[in-house]
Amino acid sequence: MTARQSKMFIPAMLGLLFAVLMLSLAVGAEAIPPGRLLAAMVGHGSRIDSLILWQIRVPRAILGAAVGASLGLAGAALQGLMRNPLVEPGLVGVSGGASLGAVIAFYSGAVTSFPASVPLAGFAGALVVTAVLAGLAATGTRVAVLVLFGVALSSLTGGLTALALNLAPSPFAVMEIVFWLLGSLADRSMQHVVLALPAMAVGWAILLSAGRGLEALTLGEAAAQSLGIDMRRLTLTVILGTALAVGPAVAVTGTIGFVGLVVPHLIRPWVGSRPGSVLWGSALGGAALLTVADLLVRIAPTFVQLKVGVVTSLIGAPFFMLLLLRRQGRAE
Amino acid sequence: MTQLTAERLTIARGGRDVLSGVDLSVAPGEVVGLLGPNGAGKTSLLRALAGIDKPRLGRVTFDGCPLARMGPTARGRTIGFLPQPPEAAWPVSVEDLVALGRLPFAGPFGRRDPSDAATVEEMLIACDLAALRNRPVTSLSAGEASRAFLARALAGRPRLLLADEPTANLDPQHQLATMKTLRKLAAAGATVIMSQHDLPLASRFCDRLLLLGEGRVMVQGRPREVLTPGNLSRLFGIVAHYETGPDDAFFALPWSLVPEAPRDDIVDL
Amino acid sequence: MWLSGQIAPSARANPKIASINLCSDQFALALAERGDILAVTQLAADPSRSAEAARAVGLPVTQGTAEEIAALKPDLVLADSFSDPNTVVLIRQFGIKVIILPSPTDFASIIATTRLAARAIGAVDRGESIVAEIEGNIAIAQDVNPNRPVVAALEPGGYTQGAGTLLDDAIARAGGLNLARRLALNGYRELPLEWLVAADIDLMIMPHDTGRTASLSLDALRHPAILERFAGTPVLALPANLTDCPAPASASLVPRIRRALGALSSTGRS
Repeated sequence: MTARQSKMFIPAMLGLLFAVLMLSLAVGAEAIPPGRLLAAMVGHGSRIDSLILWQIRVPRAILGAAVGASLGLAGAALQGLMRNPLVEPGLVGVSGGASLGAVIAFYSGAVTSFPASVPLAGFAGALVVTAVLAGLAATGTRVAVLVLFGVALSSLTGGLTALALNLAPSPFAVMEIVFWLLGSLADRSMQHVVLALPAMAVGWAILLSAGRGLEALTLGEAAAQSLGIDMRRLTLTVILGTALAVGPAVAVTGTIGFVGLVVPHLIRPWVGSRPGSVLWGSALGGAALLTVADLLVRIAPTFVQLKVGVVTSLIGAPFFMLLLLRRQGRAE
Repeated sequence: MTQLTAERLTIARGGRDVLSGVDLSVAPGEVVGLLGPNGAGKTSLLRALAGIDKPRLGRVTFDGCPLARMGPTARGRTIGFLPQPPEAAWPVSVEDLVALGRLPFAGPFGRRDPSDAATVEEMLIACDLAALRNRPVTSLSAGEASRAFLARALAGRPRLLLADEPTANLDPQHQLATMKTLRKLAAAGATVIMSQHDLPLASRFCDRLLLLGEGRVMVQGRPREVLTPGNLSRLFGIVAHYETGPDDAFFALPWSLVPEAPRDDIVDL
Repeated sequence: MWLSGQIAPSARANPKIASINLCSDQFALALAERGDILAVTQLAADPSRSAEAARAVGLPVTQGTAEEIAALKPDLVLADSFSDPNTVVLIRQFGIKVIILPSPTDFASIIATTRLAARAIGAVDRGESIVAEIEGNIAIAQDVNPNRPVVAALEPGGYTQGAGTLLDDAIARAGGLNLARRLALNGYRELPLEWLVAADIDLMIMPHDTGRTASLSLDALRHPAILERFAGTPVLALPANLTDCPAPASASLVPRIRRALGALSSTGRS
């Protein structure tokens, strides 16, 4: 990967993202031919076409890209901080914590008086888990142990989420666990976008600002500190940024797994594994990946529309297994 | 005219004092070596001098400015630190790795100065890495990687370089090349402090040696004065053979282990 | 023990009955004498879930387990096709007769199940009078509009009652056209939001919701696209206790829908 190829990478990713977003707007249950779609985009479409485009497809597209960006970015940041490519927010329980917080806020009825309580609670849940993991990492816990601990946290939060749903007053709550544990972008509205996007954007900014520190961290903590990086500040930045990027995202789409694991790994070879570039690439790549996964969900001829988390798990879990085997092979 | 001073430095690790009462004064252009058995505190001292760890007592001053008062960026631009073993978390290219040494000089949004590329190039050549510039650093041999990490430390053009065993894992050619590079750095006005296990290299290339043991600096001075049989026997439990090489260079060679001999004649300055 | 009207009437005139399922509760409560009902389920007295709640107040309840039933020693147990088959097997092993009422999917099968249950309980006359009441309610009116108004039956979570469901039957009898039929959706199915928004609808049927319980499934019915598209469309809120368990009380669905459709033609279609 030459320097010139690396420079072309970000524009290429932007182009890819734009293309899949356009594709995402063109696909839906109601077949709208390109002509009518374009008319609706510029404001000259029929009332129904405009409604479908702007109230149904655009929010879904925006949310898919935004949540994908959050998950990819947070995955890259966590991997950079812990110097290990096996961590990602879904796997180590950050998303689980977020969904637990969101479920408690939503089903307790807080949502009716204060809708922002749900993304806020999602943020809080993600923050707690990320802080615990970062604390463990700071005491020098081996990454393998850290990942296992994260998996345990993920199971714990999943169980508590199920419990909360069982105790919820709504009779539908128990069935809705599928949404919270598998994640879905279906029929999200602009209200969800407005609720989650501002906080997520702040999270992105915070995470991207950690790029320099993560680059230095390539050399290990001591050398990074000698290069002028404050480790505590870097850790807090990644914790806060991850919680802000992932928490509200999970609050509106449920837990979507494996994006934060797969995307940085795919991006790395194209940017020379430089952690700072991996951050940007993973944000864009995550946005594109989740949009594509959601496209597959809408095209797949299943009886009931699949949850997008099913697609990401079907891709991501085998990917994870392969990653583990390759690392094992290399270690030997 | 001193550049680096350490006054009554006491360094703790895990609740225990590793070194206490370290007094040190180094002038620009000096190469100082730290010798001592494992666990004597060489790495701890280097970390304290780099400002990475705060000493429990005492302070470090560089160019008249206390280290604690220097901001992280100022420290990053002045001090270079080379840890042991050097590690790279990601398979970045050698060129990118060396470029990391220029990080403290990057602008607020990561804007790089055009002169950075020239500096990186210079270091790649100086450390014989030009042919390896695009190779992932994780695919290099231990010796090649060591050179890459050294080049990274040099790329910051440090005025104080702290190196933890910079010649470990290197073949003879690159050991000598490294020491020569460090001497050149010192000759340009920098201060170089390194920990060293290799007695011949330490005695040949260091202006001054500090022998660390028993929780303190046991003795410091020129190699000829400090590497006495008594000191070596007490510190390492070895007997050395002494030589004078070409251009009057003094060096000590570890020769044999000390049998249980009584310890006398310690030379302290 | 399957039903097709072949069950012999009970030997005793008034067998003691226990019901282990909310839906079979409805038949038990409608047909049997109060004194003959040994137990119903916990939900039977909940008016939001059970249409016969008024009749169930004060009756003993069980959780529908074999142990509880065995302790009661009923002559007859009513279950439905969604009851746990293991429980049914256990109860039969105690020597107690269990009749599994098929879940009706339209009014014809409600009538058939009513007669079945009536024979088993020994309340044939009562059963016939109930059937007559049902038939009165569901009779198709003479003045049915040839341009049938389109009715969308929305369920929580974006589902719809498609062709072959009870609500579908009720809409047809009331003179409406089920949107799901037009979209070729059979049974209880997801109705894609885009299809709903693209459709022309005269009446929306929604579950009756107090709006106090937070639920994603209920939120789905309040999607901004639906609210904007159908801002002027009349909505008929139906209580869930009429549709959850197809039973004799469900017959009131038809007059309710008919009334709502009748109001349409007076205000003009949207």
